[in-house]
Amino acid sequence: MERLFMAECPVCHQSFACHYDEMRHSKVKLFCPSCRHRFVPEEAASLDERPDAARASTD
Amino acid sequence: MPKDLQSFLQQVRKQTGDLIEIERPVRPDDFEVTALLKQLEDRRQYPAVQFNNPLDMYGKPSAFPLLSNMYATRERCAVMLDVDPATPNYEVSLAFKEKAAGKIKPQTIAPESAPVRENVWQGKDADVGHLPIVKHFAQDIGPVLTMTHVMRSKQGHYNASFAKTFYKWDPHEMVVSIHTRDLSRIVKEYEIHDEPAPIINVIGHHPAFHLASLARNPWGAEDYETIGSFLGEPLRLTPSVTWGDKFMVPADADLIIEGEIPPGQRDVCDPFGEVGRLYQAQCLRPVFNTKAITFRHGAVLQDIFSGFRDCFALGAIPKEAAMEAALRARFPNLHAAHSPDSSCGIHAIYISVHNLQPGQADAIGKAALEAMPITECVVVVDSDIDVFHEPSVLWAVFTYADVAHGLSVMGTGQHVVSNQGTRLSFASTKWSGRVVVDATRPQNAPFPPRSEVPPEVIARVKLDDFLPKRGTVAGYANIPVGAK
Repeated sequence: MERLFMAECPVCHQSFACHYDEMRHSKVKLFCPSCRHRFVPEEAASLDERPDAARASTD
Repeated sequence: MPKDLQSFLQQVRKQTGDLIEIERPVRPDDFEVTALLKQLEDRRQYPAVQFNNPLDMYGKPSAFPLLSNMYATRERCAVMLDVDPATPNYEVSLAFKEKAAGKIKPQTIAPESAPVRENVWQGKDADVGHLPIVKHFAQDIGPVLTMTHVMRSKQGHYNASFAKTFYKWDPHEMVVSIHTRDLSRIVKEYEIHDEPAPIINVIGHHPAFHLASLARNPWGAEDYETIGSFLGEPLRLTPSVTWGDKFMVPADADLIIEGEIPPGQRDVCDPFGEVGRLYQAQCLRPVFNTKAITFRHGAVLQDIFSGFRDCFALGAIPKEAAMEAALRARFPNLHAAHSPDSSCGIHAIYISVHNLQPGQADAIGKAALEAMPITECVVVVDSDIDVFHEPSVLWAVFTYADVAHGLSVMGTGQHVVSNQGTRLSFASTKWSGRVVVDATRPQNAPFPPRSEVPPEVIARVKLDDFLPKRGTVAGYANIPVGAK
């Protein structure tokens, strides 16, 4: 299964799925789809990065 | 007259009559379009819906009506493929297969004769914010234009595929989510040469144009010829505004966005509520710089209600056609194949066969999985089970399938591999196992027959001849079926 992680926005606390290989350690800022806040994963209110945590998909 | 979206809408009004037009203004970027479509779906109503007064990204009235839910019934898909809407099931799949195998060379016309060149926005005027772009789901990263995109390979052939271009609150810069093998390869070709890659988003055309872009063509195939086959006539092309005759565009489109993908530039893309009703994870995808927007007078912008009925047929019909193409020669007793709405037209395929031979259910199921890597579950039934009637298929599963012996689980799964180096599986749940369910009637032991009303009596005794006329019995008018 594709590895994903869930990131919780530090501003609005919405959690959303992110592609692990592309987004977790690439220094790219995540974009909160709810409030448009941009933050690096380390700034997330919480991260769920268990290897089997997310069952959503990437394209 | 060449086939275009307007001619198709006229055909729908005449043949299926299920196009409704909404005059009240709606805010597509504030979920109002999908909120209304969802309520229709909850009522099990699936008309095509044209919103005549949507607002644009600035909250102002847009010049473009917005059309959605067009693919939500197989009856309308039948009309798109020149099939009688009274036979909307496997007949449509077979028509898709036949058209996908055909080629009709396109025809070139001068820009001054091309409807799509009647209006041209270029430079700072090419502001996508003036379009009524739909934000579909709560966690979508933004409004999205999700119809056929076309790119041209360095070898010269055109590839047409569904993709998504996300609005990023910038008039001229978007991000494009490309997930098909061929478009990804073309992007890479241009990046190797450090050149911007031309790309167009065709947001309105005859719906068969978009269906054709789902045909499984090999690399190097000329998709404009395949589209001609689907239309049943040459696709008319005209030089683009941005690249002239180096990139030809569909002349009878309602609206086209011409753009370029700068080499190596990526931006944040997704989440988006995809076909499989899950959000795609946030990732990086190519930047799309808008160069021009061209459109005909009275242009209509098309959208797809992803994750709902509007997109299931787009997944199912090409898969059913692919099953026919892959299995018929090896299994001449194949009856029909269907990818049900409950699997979003992705995850499952129901296959029926005549005169099943011992061991054949397992063989045909595995062959189907081999032919369609994205499919995770194949259910094989006898031909007296209608694969387009899911309760019947599930009845066969619960009645005939022997869990101890009738399941074949293929252990490690199979993933689509993209040329971007990551395992991609389009909206799949991506469990590691895939399964074949033999739900055919057991033949190796005595087994009671399925109860049936004698068909000759059903043919003789017509329901409408016996039911009272509507309104003649108290309360009868509320019964949805009956003689008129």
